[in-house]
Formats: sequence, C-alpha cells, structure tokens
Amino acid sequence: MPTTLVRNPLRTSLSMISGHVPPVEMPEDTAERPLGYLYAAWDPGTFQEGDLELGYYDAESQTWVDTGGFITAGVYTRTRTAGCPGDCPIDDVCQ
Amino acid sequence: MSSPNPSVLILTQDFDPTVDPVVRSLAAKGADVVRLDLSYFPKTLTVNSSDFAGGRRWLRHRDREVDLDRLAGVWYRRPTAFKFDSEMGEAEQQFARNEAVHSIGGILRATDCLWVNRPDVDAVAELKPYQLALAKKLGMRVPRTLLTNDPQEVAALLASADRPIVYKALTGGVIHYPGAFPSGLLTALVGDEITQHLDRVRHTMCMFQEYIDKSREIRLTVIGNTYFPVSIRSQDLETTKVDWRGENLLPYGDYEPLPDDIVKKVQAMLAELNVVYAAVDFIVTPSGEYVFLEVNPSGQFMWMYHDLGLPFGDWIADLLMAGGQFHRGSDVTQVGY
Repeated sequence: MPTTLVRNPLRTSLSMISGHVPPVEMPEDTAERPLGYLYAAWDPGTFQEGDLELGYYDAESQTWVDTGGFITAGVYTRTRTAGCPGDCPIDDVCQ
Repeated sequence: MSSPNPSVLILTQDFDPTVDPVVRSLAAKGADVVRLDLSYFPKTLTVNSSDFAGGRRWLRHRDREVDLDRLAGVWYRRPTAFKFDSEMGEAEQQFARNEAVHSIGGILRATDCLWVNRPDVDAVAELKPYQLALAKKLGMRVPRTLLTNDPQEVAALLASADRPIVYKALTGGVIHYPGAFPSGLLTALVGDEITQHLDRVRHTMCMFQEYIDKSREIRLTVIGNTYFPVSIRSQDLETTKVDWRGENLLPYGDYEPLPDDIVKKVQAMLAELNVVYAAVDFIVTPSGEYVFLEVNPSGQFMWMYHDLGLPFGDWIADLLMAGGQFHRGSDVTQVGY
C-alpha cells in the first residue's frame, strides 16, 4: 500500500494540466530512447483541428466542465479526447 | 445527524472523463458522493483518525466531509500525488510524503466497505506478466511471449520465429515525449526496422509476442459479477488490424455472449486477482478460439457507453451504493447491446 496509493496522472491529461502547446515537428528519435519510442505513432494533428477548449473542474458538481460541449483535452494529438464525447479507446484505456 | 443516503468516495484526478458520468449517476440516485484527488492533501484536504471522544475517522475537503466509517463504497480511479508546500526542500518533502502515504494509506485500508478496486490489489493485478502466467495456469491460450532487456534474445527470437512478432508496451497505448507531450504507442508488427535499433532493447524491459490471427476481438468490461462483452471487428480496417486502438470510431460487431468456459476462467482469474472491476481483452481466432491478452484493472469504458449505449456509469454507481463485501460467484449476468 505505501507505494501504491497514488498514481501518475492520465497521460492524455497532461496537455491540459500543464497547458502546453505541443510542437508539430517530429522529435528526433535517438538511440538513447527505449525501443518503445521506435513504434510510437507520431500524429500531432494540426492547430486547426480544434480550439483550446480545455474547460475546468467544477467543485460544486464535482465534474469537469468544458465550454464547447465536448472535452478537448490532449489537444492536437492522436491521444486527444476530442474524437468522441467523454473518452476514446486510445486514452490510457489499457492502464 | 448523519445522512441516511449511501455514502460513496471517489479518488481520482480532476480531469477523468470516465468518472464524471458516474458522479452524475450517483447524485441522481441520491448517494452522498464526494470526489477527491489526493493532490489536495495537505493544502485543502484534511485527513483525521481519532480514538478519542468516541472514535472517528473522516476526511474534509472544503465544505464536504466524508465519514469513513459510514462509507458504502470507494472507487479508486486515479488519485495523483500529494502536493506539499514548494517551500519545503526535497528531504523535507520526502519525509512528509512518507508520513502521509503510510498514514493515509493505513486509514483508508482500515475502512470496512467495498473498494473498486483496492490500490494494493490493483498494483498486483495490473502486472501483465503475472496475468499471462495466471491465464496459462487456468487453461487459457495466451500469445507466446518474450520479456527481456537483452538484444541478443530478441535477435534470436526474430531469427527463429515461425510467426510474425509484435512489440507491445506493458503500460498502455500512450507514450511521453520530452515536455510531457503524449503520443500513441500501439502494438506494432516488428519488421526489418528493428535490426538497426536492437541495442535500444537494453534501456528497459521489452515485450514481444507472436502475432495471433484474428477474426475479431472482444473487450470485456466486468463490473462485479456483471459482464459486458463488446465485439470489435478489428480486421475490417487497416488501422485496427494489429491494434484496435488505432481508430477512435471502432467497427463494432454484433453482441455475442462469452462462452461458459471462458466466463468460468475469467471469473477464476479475477477471483485470484481479487478485483471487483476489470476490463479484459481477448482475440477470437478464425477457428473461434479465445486468446487472452490482458486485464486492465482500471480500464476505461465510457467510449463504449457513448458508442453503444451500454449503461456502465449506472452499474458502477449501483455497485458502489450497494457496498458490502464483494464475492465473485459462479452466477454471472452478461449484458448485451
């Protein structure tokens, strides 16, 4: 229990937590990276795919509120949740 | 005077789309639901356990209070790390973290209610090599698997393999780039490209599996003793042939209940893992054989709710409100769509 009580955030939520805008250039793949990076599907999308409707956590309703009707976290990435309402198969689904 | 309504605690981060519909369902059903992230501790979350003045254990966050002795259920999703005062140095933060995790972990573990799932249970249940070993022991077919950080073992496998080989990450379909930028990491067929990169196997453990020919795949969501098997026609699209996570909008197949034999084996596996909730993945071969891939003890499900109308949120809410000790029995209900 002591080392298992908390978890890393959903990886697809990091875009919104940190508010960063990801680069669109493919990062250089180097020999220092674990093999998994060789098989990563780099598809950051485009800036026209959606607005930065990150929404906010509403403490009263205890749910996430987004201003556009759909959650658009993980913007511009294949891991975004914008593809369908709620979450998508690729969003940390196997975690 | 305490509320007569069932009390439910949800531990997760603020952004967790899987949880939102369940919160709404719990509220609509009349439960006293409190959603917390452990990152609120210690700034806005107080945790208390006292043997004095009658004895009581409770949490308080802003204007909400949770009586831990009155809980029906806890949904342990994705609580993130405590956030201590940044004025503290690393040594002080480490001490504070250790004190907090031992204390809060112990207080929560001492609750006598339903956990979906307990964090210590999840921590073991999500270990994929253990799952594969357990599945084999229970008589399920699993893909032949190589786990290694030795490039020579990988080279030897590729030279001798009688089937195509896939690389599959053990920790899911998302990978970080520097700057915390996420990208997809799907199961991939290994080709000649690996020969120039074999040395990268040394960096950490890698999992390689034989590629199994598929007719379709099954994503099974298990909520208590209720099964929600969803058929995915993964071979209909090039993008989902190797890994169905390659598309957001999936080609679903018609509802097909799991065979009794598979239900029995899954129940035995989940009993061994001691989980109340799980998502389980299978390949169905062209000859109809079920091949076990993995168990995801905190796998998400709302995408299937939106696509197929399966009422996962209500089932989770009902389970949490009912509370009590869970017994994985032989009586399984399968729900179609």
